[in-house]
Amino acid sequence: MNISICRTYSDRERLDKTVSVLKTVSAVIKEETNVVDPVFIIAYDSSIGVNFNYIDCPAWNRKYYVRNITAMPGSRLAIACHCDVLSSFKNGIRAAAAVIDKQEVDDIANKYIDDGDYVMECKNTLQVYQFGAGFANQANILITAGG
Amino acid sequence: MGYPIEWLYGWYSGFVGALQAELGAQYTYENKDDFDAAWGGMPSIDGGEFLDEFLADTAGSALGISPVLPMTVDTDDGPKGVYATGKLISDVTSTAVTVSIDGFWTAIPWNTIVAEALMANNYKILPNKLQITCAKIASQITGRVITDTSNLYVTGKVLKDASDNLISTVKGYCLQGIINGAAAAGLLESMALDDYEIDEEVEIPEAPSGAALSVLAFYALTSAIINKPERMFDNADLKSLSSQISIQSLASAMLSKYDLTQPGWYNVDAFCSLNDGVAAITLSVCKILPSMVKAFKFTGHGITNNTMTCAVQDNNDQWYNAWSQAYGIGISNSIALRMDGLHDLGSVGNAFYSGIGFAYEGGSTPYDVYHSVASNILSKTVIAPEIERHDIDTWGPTREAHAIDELWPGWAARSVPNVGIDADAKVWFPTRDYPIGIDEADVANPAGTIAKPYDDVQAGTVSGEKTGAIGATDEVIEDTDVRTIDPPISIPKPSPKPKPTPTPVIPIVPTITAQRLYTVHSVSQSELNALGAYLWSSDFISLIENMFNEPIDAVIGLHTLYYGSSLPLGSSETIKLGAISATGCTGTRVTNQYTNIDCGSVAIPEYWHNAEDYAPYTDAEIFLPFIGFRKLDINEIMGGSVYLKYGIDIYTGACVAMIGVMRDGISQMLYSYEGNCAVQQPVTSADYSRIIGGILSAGVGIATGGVGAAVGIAGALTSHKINYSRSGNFSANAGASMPKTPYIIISRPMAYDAPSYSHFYGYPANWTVTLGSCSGFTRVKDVHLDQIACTDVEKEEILTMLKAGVIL
Repeated sequence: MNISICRTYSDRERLDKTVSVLKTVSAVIKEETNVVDPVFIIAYDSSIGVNFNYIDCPAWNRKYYVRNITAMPGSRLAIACHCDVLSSFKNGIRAAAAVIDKQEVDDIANKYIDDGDYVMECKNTLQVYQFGAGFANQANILITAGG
Repeated sequence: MGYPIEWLYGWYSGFVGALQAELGAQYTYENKDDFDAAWGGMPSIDGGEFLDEFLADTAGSALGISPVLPMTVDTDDGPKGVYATGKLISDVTSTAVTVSIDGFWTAIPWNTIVAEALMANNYKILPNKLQITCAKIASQITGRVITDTSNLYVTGKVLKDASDNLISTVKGYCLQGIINGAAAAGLLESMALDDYEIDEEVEIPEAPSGAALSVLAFYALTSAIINKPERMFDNADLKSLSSQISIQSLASAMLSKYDLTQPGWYNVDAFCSLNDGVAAITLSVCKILPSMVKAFKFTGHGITNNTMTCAVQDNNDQWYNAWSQAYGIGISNSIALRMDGLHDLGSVGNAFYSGIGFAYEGGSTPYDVYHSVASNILSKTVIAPEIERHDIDTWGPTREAHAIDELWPGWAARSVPNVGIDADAKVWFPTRDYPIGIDEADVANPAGTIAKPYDDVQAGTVSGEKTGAIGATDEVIEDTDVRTIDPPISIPKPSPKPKPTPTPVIPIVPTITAQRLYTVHSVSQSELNALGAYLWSSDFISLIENMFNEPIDAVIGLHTLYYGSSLPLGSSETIKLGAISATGCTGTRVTNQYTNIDCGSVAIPEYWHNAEDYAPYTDAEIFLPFIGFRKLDINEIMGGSVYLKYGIDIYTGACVAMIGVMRDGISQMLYSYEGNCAVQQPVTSADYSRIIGGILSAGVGIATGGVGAAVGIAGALTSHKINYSRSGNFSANAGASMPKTPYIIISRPMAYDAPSYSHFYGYPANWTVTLGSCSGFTRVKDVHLDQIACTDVEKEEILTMLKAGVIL
């Protein structure tokens, strides 16, 4: 099958990774493998060397992190991978309904929820709001018998 | 000699008047086309040439042509024909040449200033260097009266026909130099004014005479307000502050607060007074764009050559000062910069071209870092590190506008229209259009393609250079796992509001009078003295003996009552003691036993606009005259208006304070506390003993409360917050010594969020949406992944990662 040899600098936590495709090569699967942690064997290409860290496998509809690269006899490379589940299934993930615990964007975040993560300094500030009127006058009140 | 104000805008006043006559009230524009249409056929008026020349010059600058242009110059001994600029520059930069400007101290090397101004005028703008030079020089002359500078001399020759542009440029630079110099010399510090409250009218005390000092006074005010954010923002209300002072408004200035952390309608007003006394109010707004959702400024300007100042707060709560100066055109010139040095400039307001602006970080050393907008943007990595440095020597104002266009395409379209001349105009600020840190381009491409490669480089992922070096092409690999996906779930946010019910109201005081058993009068001190004399007169004693043991027994009570604005009083009449009219003794009859005081209401605004504004973080107490301090539940009053009324029994002084809250359109009476606002006056010895006994009892109560409070404090030390009492109860006699106006004390904590907290950790949400509705850092409590065709192991990993937090 064909796989694309890529490089990415993006965080693993990103669904949308910025990926540079270096070359599309033919690969075979090493021995028994599984779709989550496969090992691909490709011919060594000096123009790429081992300066890649990401694999796109269109045949399996998956993208993979490169966990390790092993040099093999016959100028071949064995590439141990692990599925990038976030990028591989990002459309499905985005369509999923979820109860959001934390969110960066204010539109969805509710800062009035106190989940205990607010960090406060010890010092307080006092603010005084004075009313506009009070006991402004005084009078002598005399109460006498009769009337 | 002696045109202190005219120096500042000199020819400009006539220019302004003519312009106003020409354009009337319509001198704000929504776009450059309107501006061009209005200004294209501008009549030839005094000073108008400046605009033409300026535009022509800057247009030439924008094209990068004619680094040295000839200048036609006449001197006072006759025309000199074409005076090559190169020669002029050479002349004025020569140490043998004396350059002077009328009114300025001639014993300073103005040649340097003028030379650089000339270079600026000939399309080699060196504003920074020039201003620094000016600052150094001007520090020597601060305080001197600046007079008219209509003539520019070179080697004693008047350059009569030196372009207005040149002279204006020199003037402007010199003025700024003076200001800078004064600041550098520390003179502004000594003139700094006190801190001000929000919306406080600020009067400049004893504005110094003379233009220079007036300017300094203005700048001192500006300095106090703008350049000292650490002072100004001590006030908890000043989270979002903008201030605008026009240089013409030496007599007063208004601080305006625009709390724009929430979208809404805001009044935006600004003012300036022209030197001819014609007040002009113009309004302008600056749209708050995504990257500045927590920031704000600013300002409005009319047809004046004034200076605009603003304070800007970025998303990391860092305050910056931004300062820009219109180039005499008088067009709203608003530039809001995001200056955290990490991201694109996020906001540009109404600016048809930028002029040269200056920005420096507040809170550090003012005036030290002083760059033009263009140079700042293009040459200083602090602003836009990804932008190639340009040769700022060739940059003029128009080029700067071009630079902004290059850096932030479409910035002009982002601006919002001026709202016209209407002091009550309201402008909708659509804040939070997009999430913080997300550019519109990203929003427009929900697939998440990131336009700029390597934006999200993860340090340490792979060593080595970026792949561009080996000719790789960047592309985003699309997800090929296409499945039929249920439409996004749209769940409206709940908006719980209490259903309106009949609102409890403070009752109307009853009208009760027992007119035949006793009589209540309000008596003045003289009336009281007259009554005392009458009581102990021999005639009265002989009459009263038939009814009472003692004459004073006819007096049931006497106290000093504290009240609000008025008492229910009838007419003055002769006081009766039993059945006897006290001849010569009068008082004003009290017609109702009860009265009340409406103390008004105070708004308790949110400050942090999050949970920190509520318990247990924020506390509230109210001081009630004649009652003492009482706790209020901050959760009940925050964001509302607290109103207070006292009901008073005039006969006894018993009073009850009724505290209510108006919030969400509903008024609720929530608290009531009892006290006494009458100070009993001893009429007999028995009365005196009773009063003293009452006071002592109150004292024992206070002491007991104090011990209890101490125990309470000890116990509370183990809990989250310490409870304490600011005072105990006090009797009316003691309450008379306390403040008579109630107030509320809000104790706010100081929040301390790490920079970019939400980017790394997010804020609480507890909300059900499709994940596609989210962006940025997201952590889920739970999610159903039914529609994803993947292995169970992969689903578990997805679930684990979503619960740990991902970046959508």
